[in-house]
Amino acid sequence: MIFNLLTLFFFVCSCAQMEKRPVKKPASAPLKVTYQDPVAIKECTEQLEYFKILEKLSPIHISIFHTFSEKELCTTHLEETKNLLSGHSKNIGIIFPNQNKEKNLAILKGLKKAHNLSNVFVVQVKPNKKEINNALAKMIFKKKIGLLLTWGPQNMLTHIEKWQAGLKLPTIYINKKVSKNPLAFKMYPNKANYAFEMITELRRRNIKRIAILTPLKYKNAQFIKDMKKVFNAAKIDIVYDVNYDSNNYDTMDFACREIFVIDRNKRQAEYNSIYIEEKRKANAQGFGLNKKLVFLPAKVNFDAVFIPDNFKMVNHFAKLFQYYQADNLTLFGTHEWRSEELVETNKSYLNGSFFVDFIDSPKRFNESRLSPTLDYKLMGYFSGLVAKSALSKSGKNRKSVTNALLKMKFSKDKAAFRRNEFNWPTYAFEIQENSFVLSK
Amino acid sequence: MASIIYCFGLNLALKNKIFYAKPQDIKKITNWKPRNNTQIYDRNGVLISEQFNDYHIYTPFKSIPPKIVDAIVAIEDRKFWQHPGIDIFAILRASKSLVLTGDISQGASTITQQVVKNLVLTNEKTITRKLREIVLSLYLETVLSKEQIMEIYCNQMFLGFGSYGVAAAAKRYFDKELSNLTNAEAALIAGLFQLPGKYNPLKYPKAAKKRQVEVIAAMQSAGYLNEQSAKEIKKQNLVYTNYTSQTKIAAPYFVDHAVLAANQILDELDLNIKDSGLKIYTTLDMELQKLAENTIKNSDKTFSLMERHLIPEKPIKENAHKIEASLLALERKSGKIVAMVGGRNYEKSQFNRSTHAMRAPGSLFKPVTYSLGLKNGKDWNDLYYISPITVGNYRPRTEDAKLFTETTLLSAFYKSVNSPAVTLGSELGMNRVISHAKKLGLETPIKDEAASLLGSSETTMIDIARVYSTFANKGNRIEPYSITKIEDSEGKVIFESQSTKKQVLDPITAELIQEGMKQVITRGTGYKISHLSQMAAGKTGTSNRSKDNWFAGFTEDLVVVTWLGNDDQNPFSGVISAANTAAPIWGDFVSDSIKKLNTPRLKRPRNLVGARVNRHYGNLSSNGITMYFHPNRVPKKEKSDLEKLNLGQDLRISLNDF
Repeated sequence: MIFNLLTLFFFVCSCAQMEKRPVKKPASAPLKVTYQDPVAIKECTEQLEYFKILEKLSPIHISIFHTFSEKELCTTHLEETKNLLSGHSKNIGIIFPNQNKEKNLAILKGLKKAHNLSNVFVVQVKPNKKEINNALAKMIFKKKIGLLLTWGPQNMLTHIEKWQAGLKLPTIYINKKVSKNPLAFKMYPNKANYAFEMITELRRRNIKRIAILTPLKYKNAQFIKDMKKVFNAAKIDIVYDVNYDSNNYDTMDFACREIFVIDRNKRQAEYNSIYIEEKRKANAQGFGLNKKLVFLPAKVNFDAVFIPDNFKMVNHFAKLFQYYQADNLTLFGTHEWRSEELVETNKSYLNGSFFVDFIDSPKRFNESRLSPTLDYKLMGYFSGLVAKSALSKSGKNRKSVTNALLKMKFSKDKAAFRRNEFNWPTYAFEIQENSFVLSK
Repeated sequence: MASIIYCFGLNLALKNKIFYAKPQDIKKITNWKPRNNTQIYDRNGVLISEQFNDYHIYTPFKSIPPKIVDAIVAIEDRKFWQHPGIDIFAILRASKSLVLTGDISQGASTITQQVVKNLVLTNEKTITRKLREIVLSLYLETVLSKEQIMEIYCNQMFLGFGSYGVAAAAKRYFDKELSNLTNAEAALIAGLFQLPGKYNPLKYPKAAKKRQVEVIAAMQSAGYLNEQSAKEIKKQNLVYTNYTSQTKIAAPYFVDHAVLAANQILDELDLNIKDSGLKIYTTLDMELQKLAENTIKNSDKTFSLMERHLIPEKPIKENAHKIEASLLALERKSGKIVAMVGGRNYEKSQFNRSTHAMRAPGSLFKPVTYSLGLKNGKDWNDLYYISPITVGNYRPRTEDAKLFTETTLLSAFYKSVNSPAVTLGSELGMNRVISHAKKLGLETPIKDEAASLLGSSETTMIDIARVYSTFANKGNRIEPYSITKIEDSEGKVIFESQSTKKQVLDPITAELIQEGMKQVITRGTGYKISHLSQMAAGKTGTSNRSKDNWFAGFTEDLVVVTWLGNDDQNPFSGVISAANTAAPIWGDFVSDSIKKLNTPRLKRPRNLVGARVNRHYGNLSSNGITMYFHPNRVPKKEKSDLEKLNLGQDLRISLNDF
């Protein structure tokens, strides 16, 4: 609520200033002509093109852009122009879409947890070019932001990315993939860390053979492919790799039958002997044999099952595993398991199973694990933390902000941007009855 | 004269050693007690049955219309009021015939002699027996008055068609009270004494009429009628009725049940129900009984539907209904059985399915398990995953279409989903469930196996009614009963029932189950009778392969159970279930009963706290349904991850964005 009001306040203020369009006075004295670095000139020329376009949308009129030619600005008035293009007031700009209110609030709350918000300028936009451009113009020319923080739909971010590259504006993108761009920083859990944590836990438990049950939605997911590569590299044998449709129970059942070899054709001799034994028992009691009651027990030739799906599907699989009497199986999965509801049923069956998560304790947000937006809060939090740190360590220009971001290090040397991807600590949790216990 | 004849007879008797039987034989007559039918009444005093070995309607002499006595005297023993017990002239006439022809068949018996013969002697035609008859008749006249002898005669003699005595015959042949008989009818009955088989008016109307004419002629000849009256009486048309259902005037299955119950009571009192002249007052409400019978009778559509889907794996008995049905209704607060239909047609099958059929209750058993769970800390909003389940070697059939979803305990209850019930039961333990079921009133043995959780252990309808009555009565177990009072032939109360009530379940849990059963009708398997959602609560029960289709439930006034199935335990195709068979029939009867009894709406629970809860996931939700909870266990969970997943919301960031 507070953030909504804040957003509204900033937005109204911006609009009010836009109407005034105060004119910035041109420099009074002629500039000295000195040696010019051709690279700097080229850079200035490229940047200026973007700035001039954006200036037209700005609430503040930059008269120098209209007084001198591009060449003059990037040669004769290079230093002044550079200051105009790169100087910042240690402010943070935030642009986010007017969609997914819950997610927006979660990120902003996380951010607030890390940052006092005194120099944060928040603009909520419809994810169209016009509104994005206006928001950027206001932030660049009026607020002189040193860093942009944004999230939203891919098309919105793609558009912002074009501007931030042109404007040389360091930008943190929350939970979205962006193209390789030295000024684009990606804020989401680092998959290398994630895989490392998982492998560490598997090794600790001496798990060497696994079955993977992958939902169709992740069938071609890069993450799954990467995880399999990691398993292979760690010499963990993938005995079964089966897909299922989360919306089709039969496919789940089929997946279980496959990994447990519930197949009479493949185990005919075993089936026959069970059949004969059951028939003998039934006859001894004076009944005929009900063939439907002749079951092949689950044949488990692996140590654990990897289920990269949500807690609901895990529970359904746990029920199915019990149905097929596949006892004492270790299941493991991802942060999508994180829910108090994982352990509302199947308590004893899931005991000892584990999952890897990005957050050690949700208490830092005064939240339970139940919170569906914890991931976003976490990203907002880390974003706020790194933005605050980078700006405090930066110089007068935005390049120094970028450098500060690249040099950043967190505790245990884990949490930092590495190749522009945030290096985020991960944790393995073991399920013990009604709770998740941080794995040792 | 009588003394002379008596002395003569006595000497003769002594010489022939035939007097040895006198004291005990005559006692049979002097101690004669009128035999009378036991009558069974409904709760409003409507006669519903008479119980007898022989059909009697005892009528004291003073109540026997004189015209009948006159007719009898005229045709059977014209000198009855004058002779000492025997008619000496008639005896002489018979003796002459014996001497001349050796024939002893010629009758000379007075009414007194006929009484003696009937009560003491045999039909043996020997001189010895005849002499004993004479002696005993003479003696009888010295100890009983003529009126007493006539009373015995009028009540004791067989008059054909199972009836004994003139009043019974009047009922049998004319369906009339004795006092309402016409002269013509009285004459016909008087004519029956001689040869009731031969003159049976239903079988041989011509012979009966001829005999009646003889009686009228005898009455005229004896001076009881003048010529004119005799002529008029002869002309009167006789209309006979075939009054054959004396044993069960109505509610035959109930009567059988009541007779069994009465026999148990009377055994303790060393009495026999038949011919004891008892008055048995029962709990039956004839109006409700008729509603129940009509409901079954008018359910042909349902029976046809079931017949079409019957899978005749076992041969079906000839002349039997392929589909049978039964219904039992108890007064909720007392346990009085107010209506009972044990089958579709009593004439075809007397087997009482309400009391004696042992059938699998299917999901009717679930409230037993659920109530134990709710009593032991489970709540209606507890979350369960619906999936196949194994308990030991038991793998119950699961509802494929419903697999792969999640449910609250309440939703599972009103939709009658199997796996949560088995899960809950196995968590609680079979022993506890069985013991709990017994407490609630399930007296038939329950198999100690997981399948019993889904109602595989056969039981009776009356047991089911008892259990559901316990839920309806806030945990008080009330014994269903059918007899309120028994009076002996003199009007003395020899038995009076006392309603038994025992708290076997706490009222809070009982109310929780009641609320669950309301939801069954509102939005569950009882959807076909959802129009009764404010008025009734209940539960469907469909056993394996729909062999049994039940509905059990209650209103503020009644506890009602219906069952449909095949007597030979043949299954039905999947189309058939309790929801579309037993429930609509239950609803029809209950709707009628509500109108008849002016039944109010079901009361709101007193001991529970309501909350709006998501029916699938159990979290508090303004869009949810009202669930009721133990006052100390009101849910607090406001959000559900499952709900959000179901709404398609991303709970967690996608791994694919890494």
